[in-house]
Parts: sequence; structure tokens; C-alpha cells
Amino acid sequence: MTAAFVCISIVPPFILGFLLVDLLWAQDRRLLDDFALKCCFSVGLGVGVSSCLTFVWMAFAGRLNRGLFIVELALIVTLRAGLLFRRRNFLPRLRGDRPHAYDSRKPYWLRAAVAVGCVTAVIRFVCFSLADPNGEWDAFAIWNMHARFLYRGGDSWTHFRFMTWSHPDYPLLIPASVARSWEFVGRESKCAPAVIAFLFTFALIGVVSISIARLRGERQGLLAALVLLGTPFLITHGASQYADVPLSFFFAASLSLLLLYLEGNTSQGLLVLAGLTSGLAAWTKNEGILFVTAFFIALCLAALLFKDKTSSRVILKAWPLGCVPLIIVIALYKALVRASNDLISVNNASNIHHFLQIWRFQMIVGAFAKEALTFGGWRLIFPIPAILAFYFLLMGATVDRRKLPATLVSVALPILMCCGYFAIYVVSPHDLKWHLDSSLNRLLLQVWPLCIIAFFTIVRSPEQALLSEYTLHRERYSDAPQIINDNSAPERFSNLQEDSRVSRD
Amino acid sequence: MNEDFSSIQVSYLARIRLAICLIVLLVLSSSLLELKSDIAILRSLPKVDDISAYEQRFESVKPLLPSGRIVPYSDDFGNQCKPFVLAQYALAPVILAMQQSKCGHIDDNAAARSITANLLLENSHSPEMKPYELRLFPEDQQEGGVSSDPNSNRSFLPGGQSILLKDSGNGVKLYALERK
Repeated sequence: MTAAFVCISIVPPFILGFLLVDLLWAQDRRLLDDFALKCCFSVGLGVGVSSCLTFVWMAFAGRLNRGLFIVELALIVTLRAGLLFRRRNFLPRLRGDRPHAYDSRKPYWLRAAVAVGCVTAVIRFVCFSLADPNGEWDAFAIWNMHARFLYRGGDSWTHFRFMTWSHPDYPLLIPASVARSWEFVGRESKCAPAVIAFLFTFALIGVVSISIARLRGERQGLLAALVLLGTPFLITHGASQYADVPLSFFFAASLSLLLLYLEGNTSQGLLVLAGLTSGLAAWTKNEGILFVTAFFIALCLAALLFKDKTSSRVILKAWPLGCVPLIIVIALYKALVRASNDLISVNNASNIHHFLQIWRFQMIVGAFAKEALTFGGWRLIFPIPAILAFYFLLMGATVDRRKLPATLVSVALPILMCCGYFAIYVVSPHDLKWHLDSSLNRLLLQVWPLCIIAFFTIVRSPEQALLSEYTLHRERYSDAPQIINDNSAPERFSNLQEDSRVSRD
Repeated sequence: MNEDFSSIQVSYLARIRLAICLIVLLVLSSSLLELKSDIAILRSLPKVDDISAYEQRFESVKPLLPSGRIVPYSDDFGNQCKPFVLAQYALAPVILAMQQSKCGHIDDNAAARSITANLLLENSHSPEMKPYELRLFPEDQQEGGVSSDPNSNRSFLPGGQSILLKDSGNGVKLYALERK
């Protein structure tokens, strides 16, 4: 019964997230267009925004109480009114057609494989959650512990700042979401953190897969989903209630939104949403601050690649609109808690000399190289990175000149993040071996969905591969009139080849 | 034209299908193998999870602890931090302070002193370790634990007599400390 109430407690944040996403989505789309993708984004955005509201409410009201839900409801009503107003103004311009439909034949076998993978992953997640309902070390030592302080602490909820060993500087997205859920239900329940972890884990897979499907075709999206579902550590670590998977969700959501914007959707709202998701990454865990920096660098790179100055200005103006409010909330939190970070503090400034210690570099490079093939928890005979490399060799790569900014951003972002992590390890005040052993696999998991997005946007999709081979063959024969270079070509080819029924997705 | 397509079919369609099949088969077989072992683990689970069982140790002293205050803590689990962290997890929003330890050190400043209660929580081994304790603290069997010394934590307060307030009978005791 409590589990059902916990699920209900997530509904208002989800609605809040959905309305926010819909408000900032392309204006010429209907409410139910891109429904699955919007739902996946809504999970993270809704939980993230409601956790911010929870914190701001507690900062001003002094404690957590049900007044928060009135504010939440008011925000939902305001967003709905904003949507109605916008729809009234833009209704004549609504497009009736569905977005991209690359595939002429529906990939039923791939869909079935993803369905099997999903069911298996859900069962595994539930097994792990039942085995460890309190989560693993960081969950009970940091995230759920802080949630208990917020929920049980009353006026003294900030007192966890005295526990310097429990990372009181870590932001509150997860603890505030869990505490909010308990307040909604009226009692503590171990289901709340598990449900939140479940939503983030599977929304992450949804965001990556559906975004790639939108950008490169359904088959490519389904393959990306399979790769993530086949990463055991993603599922088990998601169930362990750490903050790495939610953080990874916000990384992937930010990149997906940016790619959707850069590759054709001209709504600036997507950039504002990307700003919000990157800000929420910083509100999830301190690594998110590094991500905001890396994302800003990647944005500047994209802006530089646009010859059109107006597009460059739009990119650099719209993103901060979403990100800055979150940075203000984080600054408010840090000011309220006044806790220093164990890695970056004034006391650790002297660690700059670590940059001169070659052995540190050697050790970190060695650990990165080793973990890159093993962090996912894959069995020795199924190392996904090796399989992906083989897939790359079979399919080849393609970079369309028009999509160059998007491709460069998607490649630059995981590289920048890894460089940032590398630098943090170099200056780390902790025992380096212990630090690498205890965190590197989690850091690589954080950037893994970014790598998957980059990989599947660069590697040719099955449709593109067929198209390029087809054009090559046409070039060889004199009767080929000209090279076909549009999205409908694979469809035409497939129709000729298979004589199949064309069914627009 | 048909000849073109047949040559593509041999060289390219096969490659594409091989690439897709490779990912699908390897990923699914890996997932199904993992699933088998997970379900086996699930079958052997106790009714109450180990952390919840450990939390129940503190139920009787919980109402006596002041919310949002620092309470000095001592245990005999040796160098392990897990017993302390789980005790803190059970008793939040009370803040447990384990001075002179790598586990629960609290900065000894004016703000911390102003909210420190004149209490001491002692968490000792049960005479016979229960199954959940053996699973939660496997290292403890090797170390054999360290004898309890409530006085080790009294440096946090300006010394004084201790009076037993509550003995829960499972190794968890709450003392009141008199300030000088």
C-alpha cells in the first residue's frame, strides 16, 4: 500500500516536468507529439525541479511541511495556463505530420529484443532493490541519510553539516526528492528512494534510445537501448540508490536536447531545457559542476562552428536562461550549509604540485585503460566496448557537413568530462589507489551514456549504410541518374529491394 | 538494376545483419545469464534485510536522544566504520560523534559544542553475534573486536561522571554525562 502511495507521490513532479518540457518544446508540435521522449525527459526534470522547490521551501519556511504541495500545485496550474495560452496563439501553425520517419519497415525483431532486454533489466533491478532496500554504502551514508535529516530534522534539518565525513556539501536533488515523497505519503518508506532510482535508470535508457532514434533512425536507437540494457553495472548501480545514474541521466538529457536543437529543431526552448538539465546535474552531485563547465565549452565550440552569428548568439543566450536559476539555488544551498568539499578546498590548493608527479599520471592512465573495458560489469566474453568497436568496423562512420557542430559537441563532451575527472584524480588529496578503486568505475558509468550517444550519432545507422552502398553502386553504373542524398533514399532502396509495404512510423 | 541489388545484398546486407545480430545476441545472452544468478540470490534473502535488523537495535534508545543534537558515540567494532555509519543512519537526525576515530569525527568548534548533549551512546557487540551482524560486518570476525571503552569518547565533553540511562539488553547503552 505504501509503495502505491510512493508511486502516487511522484505523479505531481512528473506532471510538473511534462508541462515544463511541453512548454519549452517546439511550438509547432502537439501535446502528444514526441510523447515517449517528453515523458523520459519529464521524469528527471520533474523530480529535479520539485527537489529544488522542496529545498527553497525549507530554506524559507524553516522546515519541511505540506505547504510545499500547495506551491507545487500552483506551479502546475501556472504552467498549464501558460501552455493553454501558447497553444491558443500558435494553433494555426501546428503541424499535422509526425516527425522524422526514416524507416520503411518496422524493426520488429529489434523491438522484441529490446523488450526482452527491458523485462530482464526490470527484474534484475527489482531483485537488487529487494536485496538491498536501503541501498549500498553511499545511499545510506549520504543520500538517504541526508533525506532522513530533511524529513525528521524539523527546524534543525541543516545540522547534517556537522557530519563532515558524510559530504554535507553534496547537493540535495536525491535527498530532497526522497524527503518530499515521504512528506507526501506521511511516513518514511524504503520504496521512495528505490522508486526514484528506478525512474532515473529507465528514463536514462529511454532518453538515450529515443533521442538517437529521432536523430538517426529507429534501428540505431534500439541498438543504443540494447547496449545500455546490456551494461549490468548500469542496472545494479541504479538499484544501489547512488546518485551516479541520476547524474548520468542529466548528462545524457542535456546532450540529447542540444543535439535535437542543433540537428533541426529550431525551438530555443530546447536549449533552455538543456540549460535546466545541466543545472540539475550540478544540483545532483558535485561532478555536475564540472559538467556545466564542460557543456559551456562544448556550446562555445558549437557556436564557433556556426557561420551564422545569430545562431551562435541564440545558443549562448538560451542555455543560461535554464542553467542560471539552478546555479543560484546551488549557491544558496552552499551558503546555507557552509561545508567545504573534500577534493576542492583551500587546504588542498597545495596539491597543485601533484601535476609534477609523473607516477600519478601513469597510475591514472593505467586505471582508465583497465576500467574502460571492465567498468560495465560485463562478462569477459561479452565486453560491450569491444563489440561496439567491431560494430564500428562493420558499419563505418558518417559525418554530414550540416551535422558537424552536433557531431563535434557529442564527441567533445565525454572527452572534456574524462579530462576533468583525470585532473581531479591528479590533484586528489586522498590516497590515489584507493580513490581510483573506489570511484573510477562510477565516473565512467556517468559518461557512458554520453559515449553511447556520440558513438551512435557518428556510426552509420543500418539505413545510412544501405544508402551509401546504394549510391556507390549507382555511381558505378552509367544508368544511375544522380546521387540521392535525402532521407527518403533508404526507403526507396528498401522498397525496391524488399518490395515491402511502406509504413510511415 | 536487379544485379546491382543482389551484389549489395551479399556484401552489405549480410554485414549489416551480422553487426545487428552480434549486438542483440551478445547483449541478450549476457543479460539472461546475469538474471539467473540474481534470482538465485533473491531466493536466499532473509525476511528482514540486514540493515533494518541492525536499526532495530537502537529502537529503545531512540526516543531518549535529542533531535538535531550531537551525541558522543563509542563502539567495540574495531576499525570498521560501517557499524558507526549504520548507527548514524538509524538515529538521524541525532548526530553521532566518534572522536579520535577515522569514522565519525566532528570538528570540535563552538557551534558543535553548543549543540552537544551530555549523553554517551555505547554500541557493543552482542555476546553472540546474530546472523545479520555476521553478514553486515564480516571483517569483525577476523578482528575479534576491541573492548568497549566509554571513557575514550568523553574527551569531547569536559569530563565527569556517567550514569546509565538505558540498557537495551543487546549491547546498546545510553549514559548521561555530568559536566564538571
